[in-house]
Formats: sequence, structure tokens, C-alpha cells
Amino acid sequence: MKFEDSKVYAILGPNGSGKTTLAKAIMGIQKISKGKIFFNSKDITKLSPEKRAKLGIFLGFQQTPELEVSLQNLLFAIDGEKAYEKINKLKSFVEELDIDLKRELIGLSGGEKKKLELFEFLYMQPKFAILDEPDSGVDIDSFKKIVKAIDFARKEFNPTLVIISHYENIFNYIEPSFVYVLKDGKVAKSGGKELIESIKRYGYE
Amino acid sequence: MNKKRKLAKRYFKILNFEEKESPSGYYLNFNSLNVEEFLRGGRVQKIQPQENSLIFLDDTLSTNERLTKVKEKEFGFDFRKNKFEAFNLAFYKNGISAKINKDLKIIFISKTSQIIRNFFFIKNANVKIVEFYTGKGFSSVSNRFLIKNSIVEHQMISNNSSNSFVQDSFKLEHSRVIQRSFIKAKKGFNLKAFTFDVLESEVKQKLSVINSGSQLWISSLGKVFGKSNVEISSRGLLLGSSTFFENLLDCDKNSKSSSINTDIRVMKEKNAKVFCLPSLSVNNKNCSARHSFSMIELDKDEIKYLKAKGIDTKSVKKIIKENILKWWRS
Repeated sequence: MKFEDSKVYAILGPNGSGKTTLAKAIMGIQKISKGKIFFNSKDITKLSPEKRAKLGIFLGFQQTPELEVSLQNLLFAIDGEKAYEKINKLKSFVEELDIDLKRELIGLSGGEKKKLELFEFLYMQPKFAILDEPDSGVDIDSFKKIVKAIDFARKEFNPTLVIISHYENIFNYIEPSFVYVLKDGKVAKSGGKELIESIKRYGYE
Repeated sequence: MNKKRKLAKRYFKILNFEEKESPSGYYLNFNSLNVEEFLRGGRVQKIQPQENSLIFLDDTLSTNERLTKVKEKEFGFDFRKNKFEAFNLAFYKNGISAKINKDLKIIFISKTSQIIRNFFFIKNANVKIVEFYTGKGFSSVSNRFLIKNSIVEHQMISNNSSNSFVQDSFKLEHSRVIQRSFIKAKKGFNLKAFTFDVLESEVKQKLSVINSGSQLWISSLGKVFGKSNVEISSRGLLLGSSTFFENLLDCDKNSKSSSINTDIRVMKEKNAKVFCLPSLSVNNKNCSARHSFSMIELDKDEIKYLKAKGIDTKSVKKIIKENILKWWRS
């Protein structure tokens, strides 16, 4: 699989096809049995997740763990005092997404978790971002806000964006340049955005 | 109780603790806490506090500017302008014996490695006692409280690098005690014993432990009479160490409508050994008792998640430690 600079990729596939595993493997939190991962022509296969993050790779998790720590404190752990300034610049998105950065990451709803992950994505300004099901478990209003935040990211720092989703709807708002369909851990199909329409009509079979 | 004690000792051995008699055993005899013994005091210097605020200092503050500033901010008190050298000397050498019948705030800050025994007889008062111990080598701190019709908040932070014995014994009558202890054990043998004898009173204990390579025994031993409430909760982060949690609580047949709750939650690294011995003896049908113990290995998903956000292993552990401290402070 290849991902080019500043393009949007859609990754689709039935349950258990390996979409999240692929995302985790790129991030370095899932061991791979064979193959190599290159980022900007550099072999990062053996690089730790934190080093990959520092290179500019970001994973917006599908499911986040319960943590007795707030997102604000996590951002301070990453950037120290600079975090204040960076958060301040994104103040409008804190309001737009209706999130509380000081709240501990415990007992949050699926939608709240997604929005916090997305805020982190805006904060980190990665070169390469994988958003694992950013639209699942969110209501229509939150969905629109998430789309708006992704649009903002594309205008502001224009990352390579890999969106994993079960629902085709998100790709009506964020148009992918290329589509990968996974099945049993392998790329079953690939092509342009018309592939999404075909899946919508005929399913993965 | 003796059978339990024997069992505890057996596991003590399994965990490779040093062959030492547990000092906590002594405190199973609750009758030892009485006024007469209190007033005898032994080598301990007796004092009668006169001031509204009583501060004990040792040389830690004059050598540790940072700590001084932190504590001054926390208590809103200028240590450098308010030294009570006589009290300091009494505490530093042997400990003190104090009768307190007025509202007081008492602060001990020490890096001593000596044996300290403090005796407090608190009656009709609202007292806050803060103890902060740091230092290297062996140190032993023993506090005994006899509390009547009072509210006491007792806070202890023990940051000894090795071999510390901390023993707090309370005898309560119609009183309320909140005890918060923070134990940071690095090496050697460490013991924290909390014993209480409660009559129509309320006890709340919060204990935080970060054990990074020591043999640690934590005991909470208590007996409840009358209508009382006891809540003991512990949180721990155990890194490559041996830790023994012991909760032996006895609800007396005269303890009508009392409640006992104990809760231990620990997070451990793979090679850390943990043993928990809960024992609740409830001798009155109107009492409620509950014990819970949960142990998890440092959550791999949590660590992976944080690492994926660019936070290295060292910082991940720091965040987890800070969370434990946050719970303790709350």
C-alpha cells in the first residue's frame, strides 16, 4: 500500500478484515509478522510508537482506554508549557466541538471520545494521520462538526489522511483520492472513489 | 485472629521479606492504648501547646528552599519567621507527648533517620497534623492518638529511601479521623501499620503506595464498637517489588449499625509480587461489611495509547503516578 503526500485515502472492509490492525501496525502498536513500513523513504518498521508520533504520524483511535488523566494534561506531558499556546490557538474548536479538555478520560460517551481524538489531531498537526472510524457513534450534529474539523486540518496543515470507516456517508463530505478495500487482512480491491459507490450498491462480496 | 496472623507470616516468608517480627503484631492488643500509658511517655518530652498554631521544624527547611516554599504556600504560613526551636528539639530527639484541647495545626517536616515516638491526647478539638519524612537509612515513626469528641485530620508522607517503619495507632471515642498516607518505598524493608480502636466514631483512611523495589508490608488492623463507620481505601503502583496488604477488621458484637468498607486497588508490573490478606470478622447482624481487592498489571492498552500519542515509557509511568497522587489529594 502506498500513501502520497496530502491526499485523502479511504479504507473500507467488512468486520474483521484488518482495518484497525493495519492502522495499529502503521502506528507501531501492533507487531507485524512480515513486510516493512517506510515513512518519507525511511524504514520505520522497528521504530517505537512514540518515535513514530514524533516523526508526524498520528492515529485517531477507534476505541480509547479509560484514563484518569485529562487531555490537557496529556498535551502538557507532550509539549510542556508550549501546550498552553497551542491549545489557545485552537480555542474556537474547543467551543465548536463542545469538549472539556480538563475532564478526565473516564466515562466519556463514544461521541465525546471521538471529538477529543479529533481535537488532538488538530493539535498535533501530523504529516500523516489515520482516523479510525471518526464517524462511528456520533450524532448528526457531532458528525458535521467532525467533518468541519477535518476540512480545517486540510486547509491548515494539509496532512496525508487515511480514513477508516464503515459508513460511506463521511466520504460524501470528504472526498478520497483513492480507496482501499480490505478483506482477510489483504487488499481485496483498490481504485478511485467510484469503488465506494459500487460497495454501497453491491456490498463487499 | 492468631490463625490469620500465622497465615500472614507464612506469606510474608513466601514473598521473601526479611526474617523480622512484624511490629504490627503488638498492636493487636488494643487495650495497650490507654491514658495511663499515654501519660507515662518514657523518654518522650511532654509539652503543653499554648500557641494557636504549633509548628515543628528541623534542619530540612533551612536546607531545602523548594520544599519550604511548597509547604509555605500549602499552609499559608511563613516558616522562617515562626520557628519554635524548643518544640523542634523535643521532636527531633525523641518525639513528643502532647495534650491538645484546642484547635491546632501541627506540621512535622523531617529528614531524620532516628526513632520518633509521638503521643497525642486530643479532646474537644479540631486538629490537623501533617508529617513529612524524607531521608536515607533506617527510620521509625510511631504515633499514638487518643482522641475524644474531636475531629482529626492526619496526613503522613513518607519518602524514605530504605527501611522505614511507620505505625499509627488510634483510639477513638465519639470522634472523626481522616488519615491520608503516602508511602514511597524505594528499597529495603518498609512497614506501614495503621491500627484503630473505634467507639461510635468515624474513620476514613486513604493510602497511596508507590513501591519501586522494596519489601513493603501494609497493615490495617481495627476493632469497631458502638455505631461507627470505617472506610479504608488504598491505591498502589508496584514496580518490581514485594508488597503485602493486610486488612484485619473486627466488628464487635456491640457494634450496632456500624459499617466497614475496605478497598485496595493496585497496578503492578509483571515481576512485582503482591499478596493481599483480607479478614473481616462481623459479630453483629446489624453491621455491614465489604471488602474489595483488585489488581491489574500496568494496562498494556493504556501504555500503547499513550505511546502512540508521543509520550515515552518514563513519562507514561509518571502520568500514572501523578494520577495516584491526585486520588490521594482529592
